[in-house]
Amino acid sequence: MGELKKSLAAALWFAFLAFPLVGVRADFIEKTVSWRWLNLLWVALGAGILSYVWRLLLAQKNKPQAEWTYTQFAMPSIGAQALTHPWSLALMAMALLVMPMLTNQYQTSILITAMMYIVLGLGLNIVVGMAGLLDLGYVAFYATGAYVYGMLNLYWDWGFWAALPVAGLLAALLGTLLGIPVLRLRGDYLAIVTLGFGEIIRLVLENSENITHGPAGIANLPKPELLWTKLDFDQQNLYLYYLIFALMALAMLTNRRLQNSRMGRAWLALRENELAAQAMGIDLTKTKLAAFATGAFWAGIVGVFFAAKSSYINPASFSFHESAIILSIVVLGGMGSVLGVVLAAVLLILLPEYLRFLQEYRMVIFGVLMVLTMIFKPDGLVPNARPYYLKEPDESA
Amino acid sequence: MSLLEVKDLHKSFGGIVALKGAHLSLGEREILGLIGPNGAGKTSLFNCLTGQYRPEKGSVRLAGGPELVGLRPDQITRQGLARTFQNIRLFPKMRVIENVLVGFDCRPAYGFWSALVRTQTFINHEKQLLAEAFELLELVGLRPSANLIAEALPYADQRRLEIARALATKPRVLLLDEPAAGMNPSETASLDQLIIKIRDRLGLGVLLIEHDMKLVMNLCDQVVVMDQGAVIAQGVPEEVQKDPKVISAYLGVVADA
Repeated sequence: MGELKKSLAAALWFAFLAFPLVGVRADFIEKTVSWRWLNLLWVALGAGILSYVWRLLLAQKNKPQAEWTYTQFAMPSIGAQALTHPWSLALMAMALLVMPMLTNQYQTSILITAMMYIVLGLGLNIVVGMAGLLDLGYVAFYATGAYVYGMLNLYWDWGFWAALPVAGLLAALLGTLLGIPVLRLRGDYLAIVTLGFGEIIRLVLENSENITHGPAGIANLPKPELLWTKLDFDQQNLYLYYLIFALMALAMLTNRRLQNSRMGRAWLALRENELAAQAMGIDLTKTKLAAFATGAFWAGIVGVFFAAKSSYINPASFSFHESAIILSIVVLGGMGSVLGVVLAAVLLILLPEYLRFLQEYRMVIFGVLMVLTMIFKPDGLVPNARPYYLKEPDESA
Repeated sequence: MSLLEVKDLHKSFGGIVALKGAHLSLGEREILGLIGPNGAGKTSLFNCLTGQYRPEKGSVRLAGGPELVGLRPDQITRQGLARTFQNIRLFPKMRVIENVLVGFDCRPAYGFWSALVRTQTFINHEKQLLAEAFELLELVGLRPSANLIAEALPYADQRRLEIARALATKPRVLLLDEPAAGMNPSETASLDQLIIKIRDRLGLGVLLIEHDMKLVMNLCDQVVVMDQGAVIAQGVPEEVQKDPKVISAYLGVVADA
């Protein structure tokens, strides 16, 4: 039984890997070392069983289908189809809408964070997922949005709604400006330059103390206003929740629509083969800049939202770590895939929260899950599925 | 009156001279074969025509159009010069029909906002493009595979798809870089039919680089022979085959008679 042997090997390997973590306890006060073999046994057993079950499922899946045709080959998975069905979308939207009434403030607030990252992920999805431009400095536009609101409020007393479009557009402008010098760069080189750009923005914010208040940050930013009504604290929270929900829905819609238009096709073509794309008459400059600008726009919008939500911003919130998380969301979800971004953002933001009961193992489990995902789903959780194209009967309008 | 007129193209890479004064002319609805030994500069000439390389000197003109030397590849494509590549360069993860749809991108169309709002212009335009894309796929015989992912196509079909994609840009001249490379004889024969069909149906001029001499001699109205960056002969296939300069370029000259 080869499968069993492989699972055994996996179990031993996991036990070996986990040994320093769960197998030894060194007490530095008592100066004793205790060996916890039982723990290791559990790890090995768990890994072995999981691996065996996984293999069984895999074997099941790879069985040749009776009527295998080309079209089935390219079909999106059944899970993805079920999830993107209008009914299930409506159901999920309903669930999200009633959620804050059923749960406590803690749940609402982590859901708000998750939805913020969904929008950020969707923005970066345009740049990295669709156009294939590896951008490691995406946080710069997020920071721009937040600081535009911060400064407009600090100096001119602008409110949330006035600052929102301005910040979005300014971030888009900055995206375009950044895009111009890196038009000729691709892949690793582009990544390095954008990484540098992200850091530059953060450092500028940190060091222009007389304008941005430097590391001390800007405090007392007002929450979004709802016409002329006065909201108490709980209502504020609820308002923020529905606001980010609406922004998320909008971002998903635009992502989807752009992807299936000539803009989206040009972006995908650019990702797939830049030389051929240009030979097909695609203007590389315009197409790339449009991707940078649209992506940056969403980051700017979420930046404003973030500033209003936490009512305090400082440069430390916009470190490379943020870019890395957003990029992980896009890659883990599946390049270009809207549903993938949503799932990955939910996983990456909610999982660390819900794993808190595991205490110090939380991040280990988190890391293991990420590695496993990338091993078993290298194209992401929900690989981007292209739509089907049918020829309409000629007589229909 | 020739459709494509290329004069005195020069291109060098550092000390290596790839083209020295290459010239050719292609008539309306003509199929012109570009042949020559390896390293003769055929692909360099192609790259100069389509803007991938910028020649140091020379002129490329489509009948009635502006000077093409100095324009970017996408601008040249918009002027009506479309190409395929020697090593296939499709958009592998997109559907077959989407590859063709990308080719339509160079035509004037709806803008960013109407795509977001899905205006009637957008919908009509997309429908129109889709219908045309299906027609092009029909022409190259890929209609049944329209919804496959491009990289899943068999090799010869990938080459056909490249042709369909190039045709989507509505070219006046189609440049084919070794379209039969890697094909078996029956695939080559059907490619032969396809090129003639395209020429007759769409009224294009076709310029093709090819090593398959049988294909070239069957298909081409005219043949241009290049060697060491220069054109050494142009004429009808039978004539060129007998040209002593051509024979010596391919086989070498006898050292001492």
